[in-house]
Amino acid sequence: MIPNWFLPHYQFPMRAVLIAASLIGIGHSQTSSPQGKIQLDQTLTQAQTVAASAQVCTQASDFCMQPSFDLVDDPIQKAGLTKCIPPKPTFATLPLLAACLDPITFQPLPGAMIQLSVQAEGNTGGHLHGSSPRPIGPPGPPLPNGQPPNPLNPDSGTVGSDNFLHFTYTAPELSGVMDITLTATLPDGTACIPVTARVAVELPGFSAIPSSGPGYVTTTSVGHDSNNIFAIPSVGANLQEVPVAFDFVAQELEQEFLIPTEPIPTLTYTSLALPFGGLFDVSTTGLGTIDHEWHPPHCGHRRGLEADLLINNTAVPPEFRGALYWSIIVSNFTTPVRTERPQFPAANHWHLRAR
Amino acid sequence: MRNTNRLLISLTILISSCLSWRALAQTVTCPTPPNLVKVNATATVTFDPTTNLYTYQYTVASDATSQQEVSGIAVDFAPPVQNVISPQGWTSGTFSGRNTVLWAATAPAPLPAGVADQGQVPPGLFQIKPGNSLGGFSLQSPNPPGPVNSYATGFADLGIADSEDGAEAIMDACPQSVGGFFDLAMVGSTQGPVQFIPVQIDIKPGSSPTAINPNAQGVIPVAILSSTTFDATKVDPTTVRFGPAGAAPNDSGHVEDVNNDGLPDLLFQFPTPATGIVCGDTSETLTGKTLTGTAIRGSQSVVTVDCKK
Repeated sequence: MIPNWFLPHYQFPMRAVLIAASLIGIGHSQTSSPQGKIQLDQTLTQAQTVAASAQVCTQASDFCMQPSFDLVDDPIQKAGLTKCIPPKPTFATLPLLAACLDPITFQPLPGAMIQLSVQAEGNTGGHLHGSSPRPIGPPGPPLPNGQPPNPLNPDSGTVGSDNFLHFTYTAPELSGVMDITLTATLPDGTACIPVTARVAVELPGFSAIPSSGPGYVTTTSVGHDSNNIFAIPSVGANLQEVPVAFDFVAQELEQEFLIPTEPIPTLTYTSLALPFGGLFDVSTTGLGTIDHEWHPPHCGHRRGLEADLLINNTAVPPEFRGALYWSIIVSNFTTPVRTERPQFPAANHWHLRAR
Repeated sequence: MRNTNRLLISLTILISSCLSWRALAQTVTCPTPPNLVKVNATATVTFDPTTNLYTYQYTVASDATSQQEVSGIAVDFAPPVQNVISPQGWTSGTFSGRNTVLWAATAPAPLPAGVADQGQVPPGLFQIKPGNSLGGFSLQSPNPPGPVNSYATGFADLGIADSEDGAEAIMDACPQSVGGFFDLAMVGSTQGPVQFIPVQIDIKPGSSPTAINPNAQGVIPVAILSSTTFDATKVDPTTVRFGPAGAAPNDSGHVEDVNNDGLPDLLFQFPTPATGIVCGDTSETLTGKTLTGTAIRGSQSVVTVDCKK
């Protein structure tokens, strides 16, 4: 005789609950209390929704978006530093819906009053530091209460006729994971179980160049761990082509006695981009501490297109620089720009950018 | 009144400071662009029938009005190319992901006395000065010549900044002087290897085998045959050449269906002595261009006769 508990119809009710739970999305668990929910806003035009959902992030998350770029308004500009000249400010905005769900039907409940807040997760996005409050959204003039501008728009409200609160989140310029937390109350005072959605802010697809290879080594920026040698793969490949071309040309010049016969320098790269792109903050003192958290210098080094090449006299003597310059050019980089800081000659470098 | 004046003065100073700070922060000095040159790259092209390779030899002339010494020359090509040769002090390479050869004056001159090393690139010792020319640039290819782009850059110092963000500001604000090679170079035209349309030719239509007496004084008729994909009547008759010596035809071509396929062909007459055909040749080649400038090329096997002495 087959035990009743083995028959399919005994398993079905539990399975149905679990399947329904998995289909609900963020925040559902088996409970008799209404529960908050955050989901992508599907009411946008198809193109907007596709753009918002197409990106696949590397950082574990519920939602995924790019960082904002090149924002002009940087109110915490440190004295003595040139302000970044952005070609075009780009705000990255994620359209979302918030609701309070019925625990039985899983439908959004009418009249829910919703409060939203956002917090940055520390040590995410490749930023392994955090002695000052980490930006949760784009820079801008502070609110009248002195708080930084709110990246949630709106950050509270009563759900609309569709029983959802439509809101947007605008990403900061730095990559990382942001936690958006929803709390809500129904008109009868019943509290919804809060829910938190993780939003990964990143540029996907970066890969690290090997820390060393034929003709080159990498060194890390002071104040970061060994995580600033990332770039888009084609740029990384071109960076590895430069020393190969350089070695070939330099050897030719030596064989023709056009430059002294001496060891061909090993190139040193640093400061490509962080693992997920976005703002790359570094130390301005060269002393090992990040003294300018969450802000330029490094207006660039965000899209995986750039690198710094150490170029002081001991790194690459003058007689080798013509060969090096042209090796950079044929490897599809633009004309380098020299950065010369008399107070830190060891950090003098050529700034490279992919064409 | 006095307090109001003080307030107004303070506000004026504050606003002026903000404006001047912003102006100062936004000021960027762009480096000299590396394209203040006027250059002509002249190609001499020869064909070796034993290797089936064209040799392209370039002489680069810098006009006297050039404001910089020429330090880089590039030429587009249809691959493949081989045996790229540079004059003394120059090096060659191919751009990554692009069919363009670059010659660069890489051999350095020493830094002038008294000039501090600040990470700059010393000028090349063998750059082409204004009013001068330099030969010795060459490459080989199985592809015939056609019009291609040439590129030239002059020597200019790199941009310099005393801070990281200053260097980035130069890159953002100075696209006319800090950019990719092809964004900045002066563009010209020269001859280089181009892709060609393979065409069928019929030497001495109606005869088989195709027998040629290299010592004859008459003409050799050669037809360019049309096909379903190629219209021979669209060939520019002024560009047609035949034989190792590249003989020009006696005429401007005669339209005739030589092979009775219903398609109009183009028949030329080439003076035999001018073709350069010699005893022992086993095939002969015709080249030319379409009216739109695309190269064409066709070959046919031949036997040479009356060659015993």
